[in-house]
Amino acid sequence: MSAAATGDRQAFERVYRAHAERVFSVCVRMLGDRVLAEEVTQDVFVRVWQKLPGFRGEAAFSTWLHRVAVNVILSRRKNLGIQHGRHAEEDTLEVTPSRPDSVSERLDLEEAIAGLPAGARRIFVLHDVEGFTHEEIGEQLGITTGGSKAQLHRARLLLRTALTR
Amino acid sequence: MTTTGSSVSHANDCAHFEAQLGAWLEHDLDASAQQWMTTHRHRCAACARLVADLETVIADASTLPPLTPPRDLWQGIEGRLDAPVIPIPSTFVGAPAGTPARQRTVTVRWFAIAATLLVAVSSVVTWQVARRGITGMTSSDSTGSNPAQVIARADTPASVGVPAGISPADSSAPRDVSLDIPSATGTTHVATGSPLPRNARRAGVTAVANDDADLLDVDVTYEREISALRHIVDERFGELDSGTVTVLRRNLEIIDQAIADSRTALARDPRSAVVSSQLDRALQAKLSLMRRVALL
Repeated sequence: MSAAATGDRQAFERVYRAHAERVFSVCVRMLGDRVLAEEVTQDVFVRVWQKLPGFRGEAAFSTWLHRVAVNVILSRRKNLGIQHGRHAEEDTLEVTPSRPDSVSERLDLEEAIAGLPAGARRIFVLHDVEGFTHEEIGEQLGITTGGSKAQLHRARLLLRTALTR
Repeated sequence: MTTTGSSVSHANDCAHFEAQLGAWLEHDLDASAQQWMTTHRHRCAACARLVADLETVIADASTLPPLTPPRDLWQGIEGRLDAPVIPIPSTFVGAPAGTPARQRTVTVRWFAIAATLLVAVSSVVTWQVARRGITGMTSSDSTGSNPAQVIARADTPASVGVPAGISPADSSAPRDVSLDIPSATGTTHVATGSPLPRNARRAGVTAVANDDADLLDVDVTYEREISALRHIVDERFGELDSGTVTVLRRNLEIIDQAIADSRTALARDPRSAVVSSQLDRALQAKLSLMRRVALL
């Protein structure tokens, strides 16, 4: 990590290899668009490269990286004004899980997440998939914790409906 | 508020349960409400099923496996890190001896061009805007301020980038440009390439342009620097990812629309300080965005 922070690109490539899947996963799930997720994953690592010298090690690197990723994703979403990923369902279905032992249920859930309205999907992924608290989500998205909770419950109900259809 | 099962119908209980379910799952209910929810869940099969389904969703979400990118993205990432770079010495002042120098992703070419442009634009535009604020007011008083006349004069070559006394047809005349970029004297929109509406020139600006001491008016200065930056921006567009370029183009279009709207409004009301100020802000926004793109 320290080597990457001082400009060692080979070291940074190792950082990429170690964390690419996790970053790509959160990109796919939050954006609901696989092609866009590839672009944003690249953006995230370029951003990480730029910010690495400022990483103080106060948090675990993976936590810090994850926050950078979420910030880049939210920034991209804001810029694009994505309302709902029209191609999200088929795009997400094309993605191959790295652990193929959970296939149909996992893909059903992935598909259902991709089909959520953007706001609900964002909060569901941040809270139930990525483990952020409502306070953290509220801070990142500029919403109240109450709003985050309401959206989360809505998302869960929508997912239940989709999965039990 | 807790509702007892004996006082309301079963359906109402279920509705109440569902209404409070989100808060219950987040442990936001007080003890008595929490107890009522737990009791109802055990008595009502439908509500118990609803809770079980939601708990399954929550549990499954927390254990979703990572997804593998369908292709190796490293090459694209590395390409964006890989431009020829120059170290910036000031970055390393005070760094411990032997500390490897972190390279900045600023190319020599971009750094030189962008720095020159930023200095030129900032100084000239600031000077012109400040001067227009004074001269524009003075000139509108001293010229009698017939807006129609002023606009008509604004259509003359002097107001669109050619120094006073030099005919635009005189190709041998030296151009008064600080940066020798071919289209620097052009007056087209960066995003659309369409000509700017000449009849939207501001009265105060034209008055300034007629002053021998002021060879450039504010609009021309803006357009000149925007045109110069356009070359850099166009090249950067070829290097940035398509999503970013799409966003940037859209933003430029929006700003261009604001500029066009302001020009139209200013043509109708050439002495409006509000509209003039709005046009300045829009032009500055465009310059600011283009500078950022140049430095990306």
